[in-house]
Formats: sequence, C-alpha cells, structure tokens
Amino acid sequence: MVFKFSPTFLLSEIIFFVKRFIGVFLYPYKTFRNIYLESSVSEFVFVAFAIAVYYLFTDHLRSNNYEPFILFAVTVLQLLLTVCFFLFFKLILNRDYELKTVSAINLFTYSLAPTLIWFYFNSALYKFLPPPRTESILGISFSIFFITITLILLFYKIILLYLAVRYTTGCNFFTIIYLISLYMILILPYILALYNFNFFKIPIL
Amino acid sequence: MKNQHRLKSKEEVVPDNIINEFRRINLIPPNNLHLNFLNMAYKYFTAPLKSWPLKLFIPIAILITVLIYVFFGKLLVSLATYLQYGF
Repeated sequence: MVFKFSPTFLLSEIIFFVKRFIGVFLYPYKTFRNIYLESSVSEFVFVAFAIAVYYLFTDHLRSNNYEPFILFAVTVLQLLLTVCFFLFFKLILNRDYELKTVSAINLFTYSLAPTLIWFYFNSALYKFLPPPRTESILGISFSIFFITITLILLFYKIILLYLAVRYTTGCNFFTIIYLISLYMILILPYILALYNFNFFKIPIL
Repeated sequence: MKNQHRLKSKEEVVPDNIINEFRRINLIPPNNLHLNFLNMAYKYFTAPLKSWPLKLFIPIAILITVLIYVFFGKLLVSLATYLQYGF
C-alpha cells in the first residue's frame, strides 16, 4: 500500500478502520477473514494510538508508577511478541499456509478491541462512579451491570483471540486450543511479574 | 443448433462475485474434529457466533452474573470493586 498523507487519505483510513472495528463485534468471522486478506499498517497505528491515549488518560486519573510512554511501549512489545509466538508455531505446524505478517499483526491488534473497550469503560466508570461498591440495592445492581458487561467483553475476547490464531496459523480447532493453552502457561508468570513490578494490575493483552 | 444445446461453463452459470465469496470462505479448510458428532456440535455452536454474537452473549452473561449472585451473594460486589481497581 502506498502512503499519501493527505487529509482525504487519513479520513478514508479512519472510516475504514471504524467500519472494521464495528464489524469485529457484529460479524467477527467475516471481518477477521477480510483483515487476513487485506490489511494495512495504518490499522495497527490507529489501535496503537488508542492505547497511547488510554495510558495518557489514566495517568491523569490515577498516578501510575511508570511513565505512560513506558507502559505503552511494554503493551506494544507484548503484542508483537504474541504475534511472533503464534507465527513461530505456524512455521513449524503449517508451512503450506500462506504467511502474511502484516495481516497477523492486524488480527492480533483487532483482537485487543474488547480489552481496550473494557479498559476505557472501566477507567470512565472509575472517574464518574469511583469504587468501592456498597452492598446496597444500587451497589448490587451496578455490580450486576458491571460484571455482565465484563463477561460480554470476555466472550468477545475469547472468540477474537481464537479467530486471530486460526487465521494466522491456519491450524484446526484442537491445535489452536493447545497453542492458546501453551500461550497462557507462558504468559501467566509474565503477568505476575508485571503485577509485582507495579506495571499493570491487568495488562492489555 | 449445436450452440443452443451446449452446456454452460461454471463461470456462466455462477456469477463471479459468488465464486469469489466462496473462495474467500474456503480460505482455510473447515475444522475437522475427527468425530462426526464433534463436527456437528462444532457447527451447531459456532453458527450463531458468526453474525451478531451479541444476541447470544447478552443472555448468557446475564445468566452467569445472576447465578454468581445467587450462589455467592455479596461476593459479586467484591468482585466488581476489585475489577474496578484493575485498570
């Protein structure tokens, strides 16, 4: 793709990105197939921008132990390492399947959509309805609402991660389950390390 | 006369856009779970997830949340509070 940084180009890219972002939630299979077939680097840039804005926003909301730039760099690095992990297994398990690195990066980038929405949603609620919740009727109602939204986004996250691995590796269902389990086993100590070093309570993964 | 009875080619019968769409759909071979009933179950459960999965997720999420509240009571409030500090 040739980049021409004109306002029209930027606007068309933004519209294209928003359309796909919504499509990820409405038609996840079809949208992920399209992302695999045709992707551009600008989609990754838009999500990276959304992550950067999030860290700048939460830096004002709660004092982080680290600069927003460091947190942003860690998030992008872990995203790229995640892509490398699955691409490595694609090269081992399914050599016949076409390797599309930019598409793979974009697939995992779009799989961050539910996570990002949850973090934005959570930080906005922290600002307007700060915790702790009480055991009153209002507190219980809010908790039910909050956990329901969290679960819906978690379901989306599971599906999108599955689809990202499926289109990146081209493997079948059981192999994907094994790969995701292996990924979880490897990522768990990393999450604990980030927690202990006060980087994140929950990382954007 | 001969031309009138000639069999039409695949391209003439099926429009290009439909052929292209099928090519896109079959980009990855369908999942094979090696057992017929597993394949059927996979197709049954994944079919509603392909378009508008939200209409499936909302009732399931509400049901799970209500069950957590019924079985664990006020723990739901603690969980919400804990997650709210989690960003």
